[in-house]
Parts: sequence; C-alpha cells; structure tokens
Amino acid sequence: MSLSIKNLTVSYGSNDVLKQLRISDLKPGSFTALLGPNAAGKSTLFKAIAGLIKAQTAEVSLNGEDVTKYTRTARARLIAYLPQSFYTSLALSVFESVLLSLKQQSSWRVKLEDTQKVADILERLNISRLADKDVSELSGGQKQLVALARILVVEPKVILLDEPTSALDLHHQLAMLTLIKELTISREIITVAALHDVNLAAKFCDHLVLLNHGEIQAEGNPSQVLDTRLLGETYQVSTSLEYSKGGDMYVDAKLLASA
Amino acid sequence: MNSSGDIRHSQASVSLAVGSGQSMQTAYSYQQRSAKKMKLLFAVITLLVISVMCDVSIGPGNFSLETVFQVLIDKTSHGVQLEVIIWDYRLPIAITAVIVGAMLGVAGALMQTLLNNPLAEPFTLGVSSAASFGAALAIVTGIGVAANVGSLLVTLNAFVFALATCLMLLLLMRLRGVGTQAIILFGIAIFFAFNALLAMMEYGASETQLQRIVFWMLGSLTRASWMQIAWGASLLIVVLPFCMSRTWRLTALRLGEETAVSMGVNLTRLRIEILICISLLAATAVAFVGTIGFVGLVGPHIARLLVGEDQRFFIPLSALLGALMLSVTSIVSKTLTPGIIYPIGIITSLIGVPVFLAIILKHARERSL
Repeated sequence: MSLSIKNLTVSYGSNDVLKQLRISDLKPGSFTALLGPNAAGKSTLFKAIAGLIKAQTAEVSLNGEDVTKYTRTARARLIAYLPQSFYTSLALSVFESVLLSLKQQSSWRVKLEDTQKVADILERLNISRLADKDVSELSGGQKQLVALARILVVEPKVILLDEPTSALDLHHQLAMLTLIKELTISREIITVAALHDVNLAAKFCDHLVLLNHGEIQAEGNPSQVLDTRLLGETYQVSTSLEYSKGGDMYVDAKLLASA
Repeated sequence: MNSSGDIRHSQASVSLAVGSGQSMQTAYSYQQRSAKKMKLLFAVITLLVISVMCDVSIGPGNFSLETVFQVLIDKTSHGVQLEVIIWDYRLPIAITAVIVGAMLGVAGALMQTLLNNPLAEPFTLGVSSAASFGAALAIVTGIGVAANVGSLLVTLNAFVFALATCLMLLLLMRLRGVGTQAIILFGIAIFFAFNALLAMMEYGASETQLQRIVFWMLGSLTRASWMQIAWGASLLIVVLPFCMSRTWRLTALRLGEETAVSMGVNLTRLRIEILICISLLAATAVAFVGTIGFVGLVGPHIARLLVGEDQRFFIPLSALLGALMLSVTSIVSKTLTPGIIYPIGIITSLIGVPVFLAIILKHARERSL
C-alpha cells in the first residue's frame, strides 16, 4: 500500500497553481510535512489528491489503483481531507458531527455498530466527555481534536491535514503533532500535513516536501530538505541551521535586510 | 473548558482498548438523546392533533371535541348541518393550516441550512413578494399564466411567480463562484424589486381590486378546499421523504461546504435537489394562503433550539412546529373577536414575535449562565 502522486497539474484559468507535480511514493506509517510559503499551492495539492477540485492532469494512485475511479464516498473514506475551515455557529454535538462521517450513504437509522465506532474514536482521542457538547462551544484545540476524530472514524488509509496546528498555541501544537504521529504509526496511515513551522516539521515528520509556486523545490528527510540556501530562497528569508545538544536540527530565520 | 488537558490525556490513552466501559457509556448516552428527540417529535404530533381538533370545534358555533370526533368518524352522526360545517368548511381550513404550516416550516429549514443563514426563508428571499406581485397582476390586469381558469388565475399566477423566483435563485447558485452570501443579497434585491412592482400595481388598482390585493397579501385560510389539500398533501408526501433521504448530506453541509465535499457530498447536486424542493413547497404554500412571513423563520429556529441541527430531527420538527404554529394561529384568528376571522398572516406575526423573542432571550440567558 502506497500513495503515488505523479504528473499533477492544476490550473485556475491561465494560472498554473500546480505544475507537473511528482512526489515520491508515500508509505503507510509515514508522516510527511508539506512546507512552503503562503500561496505555494499546498491546499490546492490536498484538494486535488482528495478529489475536491479537478486537476488538468493527474496520476494519483493508492496501492496501484487510480483513485479517480472510486466513487466520491469511497474516495472520501480512503483519503480523508481535513480542511482549514472552522465552524463557528453550529448546533451539532461532538458525537453527531463525528457520526456524520460514517453516515453519508446510509439509511435514516443509526446502527449500533456506528455509534460504537464513534464512541471508540472519541475515547481514543480522550474527548468522550465532550460528546454531548455543541461543537461551536469548544476551544480551538478541542475543535481540532473533534475534526481529527471525524476523519479517523472512517479508518482512512491516507489523511491530508491542512495546517492542523494553525489555531493552536505551542503546547497544543506539540501535543497535536505527537498524537498525529502516534496514530500514523499505530494505524499505519499515510499522513501528509501542511505545516508552517519548519522546526516542528523536522521534529515530527520523517519526510518533508518543500513546495513553492506550484513546484516541488525539494523533498526527502529533514536533513536533505532543510538547506539554508533553499529555505532562504523559498521563504525569502535569511536562515541558519543550529543543532541542539541532543542533535536535533533547528532553523533560525531572519528577515532579509532589504525586506 | 481546558483543551490542553484533552490533548495531554489523549497521549496517555493511546493504548486504550476499544469498546471499553467509557465508550459504551458514550454510545448509550447518544442513543438516549436520540430517543428523547423522537419522543419530542411524537409529543408535538400529539399537540398538533389536539390543535386540529380544537380548530375544527371552535367557530361561530362551538362544538364539543366529542361531537367533532363523532362527526369525523361518521359524517352523518349529527345531521347534515354539522356534516357541512365540519367536513366542508372547518376541516379543510384546519388541515390546510397544518399542510401550509408544514410546507413553510420545511422550506424555511431547508433554506436556512442550504444558505447557512438563520434569517433565510421564503419571505425574506423575495419568494412571497414575487407571489404577491403575481396575484396582484392577475387581480388588477387579469394577465395570467393560463387562460380560462377563472378564479384559479390568482393562485396560479402566485404559484408561477414564486416558482420562477426560486428557479432564478437556483440558476444563480449554478453560476460558478457565486456564494451563499450573493444568493441572499440577490433574494433581498428580488424582495425590493417585486415590492416596487406590487406598489405600482396597487397604485393603478381600483378600490375593489386594492381590497382584494390587500386581503390576499394578509394571508387567509378561508380559501381552503379539498382540492388544495389533495395537491398540498401529495407534494408533502413526495418532498418530505425525499428531503429525509438527504438529511445526512444536509447535516454535513452545516460543517461547511468544503468539509461536506471532503466527506463525499456532491454539493452541486444536493443544492439543486433541495432548491427544487424549496421552490415547490414555498410556491405552493404562498399560492394557497397568501403571504405568511413568520412561520418559515420561527418554526426552524425553535426546532434548532430543541433538537439541534441533526437534520433527521430538525427537518421533521420544523415541519411539525410550522404546522402547529399555523394551526394555533387559525384557532386564535377565530377566537380573538367572536364572529370575526382575522387574516392569519396578521396573527402569526402577533403571536409569533413575542414567543420568538421570549425563546431567544431565554436561550441567550441560559448560554450566559
């Protein structure tokens, strides 16, 4: 089982947002960070893989099978995409919102098996006590956990997370990424997350993909991608690499003098 | 709520086995809450039946509920006079109130969900204004969508204009890049445009015509007939189950359009299907009884407060509360001043506004506690 992305081109009018993109095959249990400045094409890449937008050319396959041949629902269950958007006003309980993922094609009745699946995933993420609460009453961190539960409950093979830590403070960012990494390994999921913090990406992810202007600038393990010249050019900053006593790599960035 | 605790604890719970006591309790709690919502639906159905019975029994000559029940079971049990009063006059009005109320409740609920706006309803999006203009056009000029239909011309005109407005909204929705906000603004523009055209019609109308237009616009159940009931009930029998088969997708839509699509919902198709349902319901309701503006707004709002936005409960409860509101209004319109039946559109607002405000204030107070 692996996710293969080749020859992916997405255009909005005459503007090519993704240009003939090719990413090396992603394996189950791998945690890939998608890096790049704003408007690099990260969200578009996710939407194209998940089938939310139509690509001009695309060869996206899961375990050798072309994903475009799946029905919408089947594709959504195999490749779960977590968008950035947050619901603000919604009179839906946490339990109901997670249950929704299981019910798209099913009958009016809710099977006992489905309610148990929802209860299990809530417990797995330790948010059982929030089950009866309205989603809109939750904090940013709790909402992210609920959203994660919503995509995990269908037991997808691939999860695409669009900036899963964007609304979180440092503590929650670390906790969320730790949890995602654990779930990626224990459930053998192929996880790809768009992240802005290159240091967090290096700390948690085994594979980094650096995207800019719709093209892959570099990909590989953190030491291959976190190159000062490359990062500097991509983000238009001046960077230097530092190492902690434990050997962890840190990127220190400064604005360019002219900026 | 301390969210940091949730995530911290989640790391510790990685090795938890599934199906533990805690998760079984969570699943059980959900089933209990769903059962409560079902009970609430049945409670409202009971209230509705009582209200319909009262509506039939109350009038210029009051009959006991027992008598009404007997005449309903056996038409001739209390003579021809009661048979005519109950079967030919009061029952059609009482049932029309239920059918039209349900239509307005469902149309409002669907519009609010589809457009992600709690203020959306047939009235606020110009559908009722279009119907009123259609009716006025028939009353003043005799110009209509069909020839040789006699008194049905006004109803038919109202229906076609309302339907055309809904279809215009649908076409706009089909345009690439047009969001829900633009559709709401377009609806408001339609509202003002048809109101202006209506004013023009009224300006050129004779005194009798003006009277007819005003009476039509105030909303009245007295035009009720068994033919209308048959048409309305058939529509509900087709549309309601169809909407119920889309409830999961509609609920997913409440999580945001992008999330719904990511869950496998075919958004374009869902929007078209639901807007066609809304069009038929709103156009039929307004053509039957005229402009009744508050039911489509308040019914769904109260339903949302009671059962949340799981559309499996939200849509039927919106229908039932819409029906109950109009049925109670029908009773009040007859009892306010003995011998006079007030236009129902006036009474819905007079009763609805204070009830609506009380519910909102109570809810706001509970939330702030």
